[in-house]
Amino acid sequence: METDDATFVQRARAGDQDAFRELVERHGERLFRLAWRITGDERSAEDAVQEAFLRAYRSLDRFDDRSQFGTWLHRIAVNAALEIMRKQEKHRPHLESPLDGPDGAGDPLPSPDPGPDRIALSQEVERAVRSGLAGLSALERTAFVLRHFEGRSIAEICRELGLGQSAGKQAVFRAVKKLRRVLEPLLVRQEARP
Amino acid sequence: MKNLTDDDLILFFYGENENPGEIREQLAASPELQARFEALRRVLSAVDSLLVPERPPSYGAQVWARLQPRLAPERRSWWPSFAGLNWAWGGLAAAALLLLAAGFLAGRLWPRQPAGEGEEVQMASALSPAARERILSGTVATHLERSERLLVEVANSEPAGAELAAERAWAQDLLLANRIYRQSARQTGRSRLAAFLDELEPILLELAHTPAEPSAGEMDELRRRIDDNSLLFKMRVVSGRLERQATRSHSDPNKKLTL
Repeated sequence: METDDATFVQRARAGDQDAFRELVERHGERLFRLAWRITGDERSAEDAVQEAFLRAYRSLDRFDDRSQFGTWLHRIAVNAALEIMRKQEKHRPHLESPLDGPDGAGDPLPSPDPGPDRIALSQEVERAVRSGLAGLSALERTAFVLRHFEGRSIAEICRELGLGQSAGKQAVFRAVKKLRRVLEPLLVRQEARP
Repeated sequence: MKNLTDDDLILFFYGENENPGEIREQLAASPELQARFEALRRVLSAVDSLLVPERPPSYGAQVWARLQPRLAPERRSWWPSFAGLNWAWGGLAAAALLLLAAGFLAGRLWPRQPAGEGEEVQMASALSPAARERILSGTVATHLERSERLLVEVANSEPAGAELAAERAWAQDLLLANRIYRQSARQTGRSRLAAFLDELEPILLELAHTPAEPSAGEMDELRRRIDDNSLLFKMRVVSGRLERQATRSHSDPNKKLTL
């Protein structure tokens, strides 16, 4: 039978690095997926994963055994990824949404002229999704990823991000609206194709 | 029955609306509302097309390989901290310490040592000026990498309690080393390097004297200072240049150092 996380946490607390290694190997990929969706960038995601494990290791004494280790780690990773995003946002304000014009009008995408096959269409949609997500603020993107991909309720998102209920909700709403502005014209164009 | 907004529809899509039954009724009764909801659903379904880059099966092991060296307890006192340096130059670093502590200062200030002077100074004078400068470059490059790690940690985390105390002790070590290196750089005429170490010193000083329980405002101010001066970026650039200087071929020992 597979040993559970709690046993490895106890051993890691006692200084057994191999036990912590087991936890890293168990949760690494899941954390990468989460961090990549939040940061949209492999290197940043890798940094967030490293940072999350490092913080977790240093805080093992503060981990409440009644909690799930995976949930605790998830929360640490979300905050590590969000911090990285915020730093990037601060240093590279020009990466803020190209779609955030005063009226939100105009064609936000570089108008490719794809062929009719489905693969090209799905690639076009994926590019548009990436572009749309890149246009969100760090907070909007994190809240959206938690709601849409991670299935967290808005109440849980607010707890994870330390937000009030209204702020958490508004972050998700703004994210969805911005994504709609990018994706809807493309989806309508696709539907209109023969 | 209230008119449904897009926000209501978003909550409904995610199963978070307080009155889902009411929304279903309104949807069933209104083609216009159905169209709005369908448009939203299409957009949010399209988002699922986002593909996360795949990781190899060995990914967990790769993460661990990067992480494990960082889990080793930080050395907190100044002398042992030098033992943890990356001795890429074999025994040169040990000589560097002696040089920095005694050779540069004693050797340069009193170039003719009286008979019976310490072994350290003999070692110092046994090395050519170019070798001393390479050693200084390598040692300061390592010092800057360690300082960068500390600043990154402070900038990216909310240290408290024992963690903060450890970072403070680490900053004290680095501060002490920084002063010695700055002095050595000045003594050897490397004024740009000395000026850079001068620039680094105030932030190390501040970190070394962080209160045991700093307020959020104090920590924010520290982070702002780290960010505002682009210190991390400069440290990476300077450290890279120093590393190149340190590993420069012996065949070109007299090339003028830029830092």
